[in-house]
Amino acid sequence: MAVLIAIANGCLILTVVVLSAYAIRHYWFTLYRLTLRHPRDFMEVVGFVTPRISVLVPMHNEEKVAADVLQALIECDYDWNKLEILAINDRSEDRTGEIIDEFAAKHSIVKAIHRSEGAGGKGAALLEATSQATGEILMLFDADYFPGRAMLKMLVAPFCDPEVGAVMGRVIPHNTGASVLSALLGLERAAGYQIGQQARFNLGVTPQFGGTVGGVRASALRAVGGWNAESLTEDTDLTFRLVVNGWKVAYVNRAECYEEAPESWQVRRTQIGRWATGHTDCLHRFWPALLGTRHLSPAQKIDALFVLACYWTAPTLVLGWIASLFLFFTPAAHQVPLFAVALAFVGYQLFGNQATFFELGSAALLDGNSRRVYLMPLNLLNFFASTGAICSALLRYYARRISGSQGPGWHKTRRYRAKGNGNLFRNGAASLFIQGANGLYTRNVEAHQP
Amino acid sequence: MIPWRFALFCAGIGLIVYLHFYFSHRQWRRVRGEVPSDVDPTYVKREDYFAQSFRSKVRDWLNLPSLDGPLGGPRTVLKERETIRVVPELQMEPGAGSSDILVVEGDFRCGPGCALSREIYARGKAAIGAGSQIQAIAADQNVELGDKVTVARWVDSLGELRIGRACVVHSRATAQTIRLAMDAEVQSVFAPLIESDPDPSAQEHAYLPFVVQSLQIPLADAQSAASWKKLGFDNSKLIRLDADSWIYHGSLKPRVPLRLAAKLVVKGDCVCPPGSVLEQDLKTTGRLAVGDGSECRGNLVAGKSLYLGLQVRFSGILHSGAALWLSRGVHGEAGGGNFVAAHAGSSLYMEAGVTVHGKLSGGKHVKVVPASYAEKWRRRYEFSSEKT
Amino acid sequence: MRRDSIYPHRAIRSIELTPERILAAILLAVLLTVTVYAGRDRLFVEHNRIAASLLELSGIPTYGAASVEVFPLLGSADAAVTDTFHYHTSPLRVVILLVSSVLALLILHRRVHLARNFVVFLLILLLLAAGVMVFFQAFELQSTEFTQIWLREEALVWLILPWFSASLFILGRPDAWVGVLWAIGVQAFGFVWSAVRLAFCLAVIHFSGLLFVPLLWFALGLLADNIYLLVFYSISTRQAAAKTWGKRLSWQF
Repeated sequence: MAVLIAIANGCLILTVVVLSAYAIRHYWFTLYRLTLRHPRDFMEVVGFVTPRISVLVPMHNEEKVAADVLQALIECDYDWNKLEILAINDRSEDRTGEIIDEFAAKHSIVKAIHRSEGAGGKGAALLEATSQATGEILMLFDADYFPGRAMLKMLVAPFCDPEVGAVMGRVIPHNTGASVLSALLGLERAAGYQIGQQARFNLGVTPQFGGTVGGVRASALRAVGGWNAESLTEDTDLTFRLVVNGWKVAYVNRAECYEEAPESWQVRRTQIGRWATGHTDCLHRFWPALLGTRHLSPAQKIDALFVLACYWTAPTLVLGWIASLFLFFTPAAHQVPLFAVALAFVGYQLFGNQATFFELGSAALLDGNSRRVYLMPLNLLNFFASTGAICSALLRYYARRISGSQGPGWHKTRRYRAKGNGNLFRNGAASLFIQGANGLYTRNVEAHQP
Repeated sequence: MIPWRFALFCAGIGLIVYLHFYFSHRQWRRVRGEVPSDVDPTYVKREDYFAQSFRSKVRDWLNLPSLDGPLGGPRTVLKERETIRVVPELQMEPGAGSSDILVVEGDFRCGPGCALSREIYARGKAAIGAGSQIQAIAADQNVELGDKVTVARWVDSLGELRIGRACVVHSRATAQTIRLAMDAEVQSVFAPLIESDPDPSAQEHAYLPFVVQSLQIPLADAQSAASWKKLGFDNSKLIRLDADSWIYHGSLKPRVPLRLAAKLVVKGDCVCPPGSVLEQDLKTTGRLAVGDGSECRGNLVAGKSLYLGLQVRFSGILHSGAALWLSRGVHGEAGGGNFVAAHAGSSLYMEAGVTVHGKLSGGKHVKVVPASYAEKWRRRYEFSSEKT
Repeated sequence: MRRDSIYPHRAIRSIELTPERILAAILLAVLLTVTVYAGRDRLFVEHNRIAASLLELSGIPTYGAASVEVFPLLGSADAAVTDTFHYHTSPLRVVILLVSSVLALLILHRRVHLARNFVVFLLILLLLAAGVMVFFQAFELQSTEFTQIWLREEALVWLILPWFSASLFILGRPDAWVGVLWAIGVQAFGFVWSAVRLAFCLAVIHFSGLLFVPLLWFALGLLADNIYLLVFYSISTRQAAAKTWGKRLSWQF
């Protein structure tokens, strides 16, 4: 029994140490970002950096959203002489291919790529499209995104820095009115981008390239071996291949793009399970290279490991709970006044949770989203759901790893675009009004090249 | 049998727990129909956005009901809690003030010491007297800001904009041509031609360094690496990033002019001697200094300060994490109808006689400073302002 | 020279962290922590008094107070002594309570998708406790022992809370002085609410014994501390964001 108590205490201490480390990191990022007077950005040179770009849009059964994203890209404010849009139809069974062909026929900058054989998955689709791309910079958008007119110019600006290998913009869920889950995810996304990504970029550690609403330098991509068609999260994979080989990832907070967040728990579970598996897989593959590379400082290496290991916090937390339960029910354990352990336990429970919510609240404050912040207490329930989903995903991942099972296919998140209710875009047409403090006004300024 | 008092206690606890979630629950019920964070997909970044947006709004406001004056004379448009005064021409006496939005159909002039707390739109020329304080001004012809004028926000002219001595513009200044006097301070300027006034007291430097030997990176001949080490370049620190990009681990301070034939990232400081030719992009994590008479055809990015020496020519982007210094005679032009841009994370300092076709901006400000300020910068990089 | 707001974008650029603000945060945290530590004996006495009064009001008889050691560093505190239910007294009651609470949780699981994983966790705790009650009948938990565990946790919360309040309410919002009021408010609320929760838990133990103890200790213990801190923080942030939005009006036409 003494041995079991010692093991339980050890597990508890491990949980406290790991989660406290993450909590300190969250707090540091939040305080740093909140008080950051001059964020490092390239906004002032937007429009002055105009290399040739290829926009890649991989699609698999995207008839609901294909027309929207292609139309938005055509309307982007970028010199058509330096722009091509590669719409990739990857063995779709619906009208995706026809829609792409219609756009290609009408607009010279759109090129249709139809895949009917070869490996499946987004990575494989990107691999094939990249071989046909002529741009210096490859921009990536998923089919359910709605890039604004200034998006391409904003995303391409950081590439004036020769060290930048990839750029990431900011995603904002547009369907936050559809369900309480999507509203909660809106809060989480805001924290992840407005605080996390911006702080990491400014501190010189690595913001993550998310594989959409972002771009990668074609020569850098070639230098690190191209897209990894085998990876479940080709974006995380590419981020760390770039970083390990000396490239940097830039983040553009103002390059905002609407996305669809999951509206149901089933979809959310699948999404977060995929992210957890992909990240953890990248951790296993990259940790030796991360520790050994001369291109990163010790602080950058530590932060990179924190990023890759972030989904391990869920099973670590569960381990802590199990240890706590055991200690609670063991008479011998709570007779011993383990002041330090108790202090640490209470401290990390409060600290760890409040660090995350400090980030959420600060992002809401910086964004000017005031009412939605009331949903924060409900995020505790979201947190439980995510913990369960991550733990089961990681269990399946390690089981597959041990048994040597097959790799990924297409992992699409369900689309809600046509649903309408609580969704900003109805019937594929966007009618956008910006609510100012003085009431409604439309932005109708004519655009031209600066 | 559970006593009723305990049942009441349970109900009380339940109520208090619900009250914790009252605001969340209320927001949950409001979620449907909630508008997401407003992202404007129609927004296009343009340097004169404020001014164009203001002009566009003025066009709409002039359709609002007005208190009519004599035909062709002044009138007042009522816009909610604000007043818009529309006049054919306006000349304000020294020390005058106004808290109305002013729309002037012709020329606008105000004397010294005026205080105008709302925006001004002039379809003709505009001249602001010395020491005045204005909110913002857009004019369809030339604009002249007198000495020590303070503009709380932006200035725009469709013609020429002259910013007087010690003027402060807290936001953007945009025009076809912008001329900045000594000590003028702006947050950012954009124009096809930007010039700082020449400094008559400064010596003329027609400086063209005569280059006998230059260091080409990457080395054309790897065998010569040992000899270049004595001249400040260690080839073993150079690592390839991609087909035309390299990383140099350490500071780079060659003793001969640099000829950069590929993109280079320097993990430290970099000091390019006078007469260097940078054909490609150069980035340093530390400070970057480019010596007198050099030519920069690529982009220059510095993690810390960035210094361009006398009569340096650049045709790309300049981006520094800290201060940025443009010495006398610096010329920025991209050619082919394109513009250059220079941005400093903190302050962008420019001496007299700088010409840029494009944009200058600073996190703190862009400021025209006298040559004497430059000396400490030159000493830091061991540059001399004398001809060599 | 840069404005607070990014026009025409909606966001604010940053909030200012002045030395005065940092000093205010540190001073407040130190002051509250020292006050709690120095007044801990009085706090324990009042805490017990509130809990005991609520127990009496809800019809639970108390038999005076016993002294329990919180931690050597924090000294001892009085704990109200009440009867606790034991399994062998009425196994049927345990079965009825277990079945009805499992049913209630299952209904909650079905109806509230957001809370499903949380409900599963509570079910596990409930079944675990039931298992211990049935198969380890020798395991008993007295009211004073529960109070000791409770006070150990809550006393540490009272000591640590000022430091979180300082960061959340003072460093993390534009107007620091309003944040001081929020921090003091949350500290006072935490103390009183702890006494109320303890009384409720002791009352439940009086009727059901060990059955709901882990569930209550988890849900009404540290989790409840997190929740009220979060609620205060969300209301405070809403107020700060609304005020900041108001200031931004000056940049709108």
